[in-house]
Amino acid sequence: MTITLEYNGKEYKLGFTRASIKQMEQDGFNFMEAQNYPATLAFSLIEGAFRTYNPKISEDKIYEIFDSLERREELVSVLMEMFQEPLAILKSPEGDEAKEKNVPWKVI
Amino acid sequence: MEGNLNPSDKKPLMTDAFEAACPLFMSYGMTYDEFWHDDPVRAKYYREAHEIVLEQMSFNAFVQGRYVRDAIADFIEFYAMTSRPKVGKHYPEKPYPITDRAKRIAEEHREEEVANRYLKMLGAKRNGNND
Repeated sequence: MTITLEYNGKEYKLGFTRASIKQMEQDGFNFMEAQNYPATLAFSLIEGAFRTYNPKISEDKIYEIFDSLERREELVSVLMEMFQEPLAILKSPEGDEAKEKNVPWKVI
Repeated sequence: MEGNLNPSDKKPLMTDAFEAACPLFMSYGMTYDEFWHDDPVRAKYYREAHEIVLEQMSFNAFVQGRYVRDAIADFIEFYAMTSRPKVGKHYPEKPYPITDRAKRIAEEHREEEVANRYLKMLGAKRNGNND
């Protein structure tokens, strides 16, 4: 599952791979612990999702784009689901229920 | 990455699970890069493909077992129980039809043979040759 969004004429793809999750965890991110700190969780997920497919994007650019989005809380909720998907798929057939389509997202 | 929580001494759980699962999925035919860098959903299809391969292996073993069983049945019937060897009737002259297509062709051949036998019995074939 990936998210695509267009900002200033440029298309950005957001999502997670196992490698990007590994990198986030090596940088200190722990999904279980982070759930106690919603703001930190959200920031980490947003940055991680952007950097998976846009490794050279700056932090300022990420938040410039994020601030321009509508339904930001919903986006974070979807990112939480997406973050867990790579593990869920490995664990059991139930994980296969994860969506395989791109989630449309609009910029204000 | 900035904005993270304090780094924990504990090894990250998801990475552990990925590293543990990686060899398993590589045994399914997934490459290392696919596992780590491609769409995570791809693993689902490798797992399902592996299940199909297992089913095919099981089916192949089953069919092979039938051939062996029939060969042994032939041996017992014609060499162990009688003094005169005969033509075996258990072991098939052709491979078992496995796919729907093969079954359909086999059925067509069988019907053709039945029809030929019937024509022969009626003498139709001889009449046909005389024409």
